[in-house]
Amino acid sequence: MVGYFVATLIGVLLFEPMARLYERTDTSFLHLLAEGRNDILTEIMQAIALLSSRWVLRVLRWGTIIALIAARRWRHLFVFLGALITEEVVAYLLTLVIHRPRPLGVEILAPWQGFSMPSRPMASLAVTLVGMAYSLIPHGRYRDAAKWAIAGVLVGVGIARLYLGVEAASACVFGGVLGVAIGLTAFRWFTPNDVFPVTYKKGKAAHLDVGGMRGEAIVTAVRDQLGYRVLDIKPVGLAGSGGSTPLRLKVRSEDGGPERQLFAKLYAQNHVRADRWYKIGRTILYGALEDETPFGTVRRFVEYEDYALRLMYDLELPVPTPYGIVEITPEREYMIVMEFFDDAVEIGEAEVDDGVIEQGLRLVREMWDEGLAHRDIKPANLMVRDGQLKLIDVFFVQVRPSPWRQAVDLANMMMVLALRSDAPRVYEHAVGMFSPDEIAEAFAATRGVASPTQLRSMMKEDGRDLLEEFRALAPDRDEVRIQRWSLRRVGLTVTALLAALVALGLIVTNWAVFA
Amino acid sequence: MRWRSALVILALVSAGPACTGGGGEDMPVCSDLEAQVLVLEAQSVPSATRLPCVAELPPGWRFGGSLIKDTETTLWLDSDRAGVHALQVTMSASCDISSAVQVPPAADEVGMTVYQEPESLEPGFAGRRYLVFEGGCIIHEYAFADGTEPTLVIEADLAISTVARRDIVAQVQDSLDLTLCGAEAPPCVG
Repeated sequence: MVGYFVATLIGVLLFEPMARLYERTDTSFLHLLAEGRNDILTEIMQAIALLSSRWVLRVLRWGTIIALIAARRWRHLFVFLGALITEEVVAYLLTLVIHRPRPLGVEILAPWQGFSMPSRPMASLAVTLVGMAYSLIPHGRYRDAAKWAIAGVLVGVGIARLYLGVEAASACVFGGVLGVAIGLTAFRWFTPNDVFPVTYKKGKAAHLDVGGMRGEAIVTAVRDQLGYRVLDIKPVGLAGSGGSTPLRLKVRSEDGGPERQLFAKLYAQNHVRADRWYKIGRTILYGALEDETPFGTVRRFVEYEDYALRLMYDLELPVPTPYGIVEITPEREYMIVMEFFDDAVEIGEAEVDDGVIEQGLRLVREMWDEGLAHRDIKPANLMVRDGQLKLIDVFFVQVRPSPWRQAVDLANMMMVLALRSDAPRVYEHAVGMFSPDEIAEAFAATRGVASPTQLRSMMKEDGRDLLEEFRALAPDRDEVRIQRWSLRRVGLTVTALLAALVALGLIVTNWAVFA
Repeated sequence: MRWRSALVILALVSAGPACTGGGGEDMPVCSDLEAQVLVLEAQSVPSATRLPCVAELPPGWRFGGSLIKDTETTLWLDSDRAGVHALQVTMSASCDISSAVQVPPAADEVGMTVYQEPESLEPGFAGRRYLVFEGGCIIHEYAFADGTEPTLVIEADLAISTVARRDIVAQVQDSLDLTLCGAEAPPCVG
């Protein structure tokens, strides 16, 4: 990548003082090609050169944009758009700086526009093809093959354009190198493969690849820091987790104890960023519902979850046994390790009898009494093993939360339990631990964003209006308003709107790149 | 990663207007025969023996931009009174003069056949002036803003002139020892 940019810089800096040398060398070469022209070869070369025409580029670019939208691969989409606009702008400005005419002394047999160096069609084709490879093709064998194919296409189109006399060799190479450099830089910086892999398997973008060097680093770190030999690493429960990469580790202690399973959550910088954006989004949409202060570093991130887990474990709440934090890469990647609940099933697939209902409600009661809120009560975070309810994922736990937040925990727990039973039954158990007014307040406070996405979608699939059923069972209570206004919210909203306008403006003013 | 994002946003924001403003290549100045933009113009219509350029911009006029491609060269001027894109100058290999009338050439148009085609005086002046010469044709298209004095045509015409292709051919030969093939030069290879 550095080589590409050095080549670009040299091209720009050396062209002016060495213009005569460039021109004479390029012209001699083009004369040789032009002298060898014949009708059939010319037609073939014109057909090959069409690959760099605006129409072909439009089809490739729009095809990629549509594919990325269909795959909802937004980050790759924005990087692709950014790379295209950057390339078009940079290549255009460079032609104005270098102001090199078309080749001298040969008849030009292809359409052209403007100064010739760097070759804008070559740069456009290169950045488009590189962008397609990095946003549509998974890393590995297929992408490697695509890179060779791209090199072949660029060389072929370049030779065709030289044959047709539309550009000199140096302009053609410069354009190709520039396009590749911008495409590679954009995708390697903003969508590093180990963080944002292109994959056609179901999963979330936040999940990290745990093979290769990272896998080796995990094995070494767990051995050195926890004293366990890792026998196997397997991603688990990816569908229910968007904020980390959950893993199941098969381990054995260094002193030769029995094999056991551990649960681990891998965190990296992108999770901190995702959390920050998530909180900004919540603030814009709903105001300061609760503490929306973002974490500064991934270390703080994982330390907080470890603290919350140990706190709940010490209070004898049914959470996994904490094993500690493992540092994979200092300040960049950490893993929190805890007990894995063997043979446990998600509550959404478990039998929910009176015992489980009772445990769920008691869990909320105990958190209320201890001054805690889980803030993410959903089926994916409630496991059942041998009729015992377990609570996992304590990352969102808040100490001394607002009464509103605690009320929401209760309502969410009751709805999760009712999904596998029915509202009257859950309500009947609830009144044994909570007053009817407390239950009424819980359902008055709970709607929309207050419930996790997974719970909302499962309730939608279920078909029953559980929220209204509970509200009908509880005493009448006015809805608790969840919109909160603050200067920060206004500021963030205005900033977001301005950013959207700038982005829109850039796309509109550079529409020629796409249209 | 924050500094990277900021860098990219800064680059895009600063580069964005570059795509929208004016556009096209440098301003071809008649007195600067070494300007590469004149070579590019010569390549756009290889048969043309004259090339359009900017002689002198009268007060209130500015160079709007240019578009030079393989079949024609287009320049345009903006005016603080006649408006944006008040004068567009297009050079091509030939032009349709069937609805225009011949008029005497101006001092800097000697050797060319000149035609005019007024289209309207109200609400804004609009019309065309054709300069026909060996191997090419230059069209001046006036599209003044509503209420603009038609006499601004005189100012507009003062701004645009032509240079001989042979002078550019000689300049390329002197500076690079290479041939700018086409009219008034050895034929192109191929």
